[in-house]
Amino acid sequence: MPILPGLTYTLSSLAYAAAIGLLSMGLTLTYLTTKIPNFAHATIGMIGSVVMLILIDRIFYDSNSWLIFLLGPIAGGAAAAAFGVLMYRAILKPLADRGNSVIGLMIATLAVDIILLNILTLILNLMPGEHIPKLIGANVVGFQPKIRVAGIVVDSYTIVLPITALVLTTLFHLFLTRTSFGVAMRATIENPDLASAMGVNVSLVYTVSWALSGFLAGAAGALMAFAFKGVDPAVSALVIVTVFAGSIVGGLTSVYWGLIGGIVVGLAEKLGTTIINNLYRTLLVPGLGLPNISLVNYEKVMSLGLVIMVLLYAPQGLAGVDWGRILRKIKSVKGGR
Amino acid sequence: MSTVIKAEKVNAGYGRFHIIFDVDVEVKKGEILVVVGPNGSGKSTLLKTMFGLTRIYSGRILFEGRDITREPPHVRAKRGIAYLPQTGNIFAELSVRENLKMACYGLEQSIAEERIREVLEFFPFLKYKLSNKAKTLSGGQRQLLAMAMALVRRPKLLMFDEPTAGLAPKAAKEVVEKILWLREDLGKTIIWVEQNAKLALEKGDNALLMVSGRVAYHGSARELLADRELGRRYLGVKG
Repeated sequence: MPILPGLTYTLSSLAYAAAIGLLSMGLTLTYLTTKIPNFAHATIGMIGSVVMLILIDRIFYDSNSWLIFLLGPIAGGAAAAAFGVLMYRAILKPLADRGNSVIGLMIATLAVDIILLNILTLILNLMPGEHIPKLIGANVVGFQPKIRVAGIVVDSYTIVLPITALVLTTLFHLFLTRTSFGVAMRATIENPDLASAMGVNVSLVYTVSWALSGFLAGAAGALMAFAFKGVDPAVSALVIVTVFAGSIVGGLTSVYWGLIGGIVVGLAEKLGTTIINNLYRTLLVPGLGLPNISLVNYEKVMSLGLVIMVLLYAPQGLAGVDWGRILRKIKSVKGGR
Repeated sequence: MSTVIKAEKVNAGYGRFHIIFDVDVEVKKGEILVVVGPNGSGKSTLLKTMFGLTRIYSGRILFEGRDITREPPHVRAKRGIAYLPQTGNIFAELSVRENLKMACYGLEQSIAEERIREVLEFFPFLKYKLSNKAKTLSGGQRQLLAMAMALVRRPKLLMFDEPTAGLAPKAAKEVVEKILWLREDLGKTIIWVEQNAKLALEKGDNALLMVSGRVAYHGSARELLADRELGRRYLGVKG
């Protein structure tokens, strides 16, 4: 058994990691602005998956068009953004204004998560599929164009998802640095009172942050629909663990590090678990006579193990690590050789 | 002279923590009002209340005759009130240029650029620091950047909360000179909360002495400085 996974699996792992990165970036954003840990974030992403499924059933059922990769994330992102705004303005802001603690707000997001999960499940159960007989649990992997990479036919979402993550991150970066509202958002994250003193409508900034966070989640969720074996909103209960792990590994102090943390955790879950599994079964099972079991289903051990390691040894996450010092050390070691 | 800001029987605090009680204060155009008092007397809370950052239980605040008691801070800022808190008065993670742009938030781009150019003439050292992150500036430079940020909005009233706290004597002197310049050359109205009472009372026109959240004195700054009893009891000023 080869230790390193094949091209197809590596690409699907990269796509998964990119989606988790987008979700972690959005989760970090609303945490930075409103200080609310949003446990409904992955289920908000599932809105994107459901929208993608409906688009395939009604429009793209026999076309295998690349357009699905444009319309799906935009429509899914918009729907999720609208829900994010509704959730913040109708539930979380009124609760925060009444002086509820972070714990109270966190519990409220858990309640929203379960309600939304049930609503999405109900929609898929009740909505008659036009071209897909049963929407809940439907596997949409066949409804996408195929492409060749290094002579191998691969699912195109595995290429599209990392590119989408790159494009959305670039656009988000330009928004934060080149527009006055984006600079106002960064300023509000750092010091809301002072931003208010400068004439910034902080409440509007918070609302927009929930919209952006929802959009990132919905866009990722729309493309993730191809990665799941069947579109089922209940998957979000597992995804949210990974998304939080990504945000915590990133450090919860910067949206960019949120993205990187999500990618690291996503890769650890997929590639890391597979490599460890292959090492175990190739070396330890025959060598030490250990039970011949597959470890690939224990991927959450990787992400949560990473969280514990980070909390123990780098409490401020990857963002808090002095990378300059590490690079200088590496250079000095290289120079000394 | 016309009244710029006036507080009438204001009671305010944070949530259920009542900090200032029945405060009456009036500041005329072009005046420097120095607010002094022992630690925890409510000086900073008074400024925050004027700017809408606390909960007002009763009383009202009038700015140029208009009741602004229930207005949020960003609306007060647009009306011409600038508030410079003791710490956190700049965005440390943003560049100097971005800080100045933030100060112009909501202004038309051409006006904003003109205002930034204008303010850079008042604070020339900033021209050479535009791309630097604000956190790389020294304490004194940060206070001057905060002042520059306030000035780009051409406020009518500037409220400083302990602008010299933690600064080296030379930097503190420069900050005080700029405050006086704001009044003398630009005709701004100023409320200046200061821990170094002697320094501020020598420079101010009128003074407000706060003790335990109440006004203990409101009148001439020189007279307060000359009052040995009040100076000794509340301000640490030796007679």
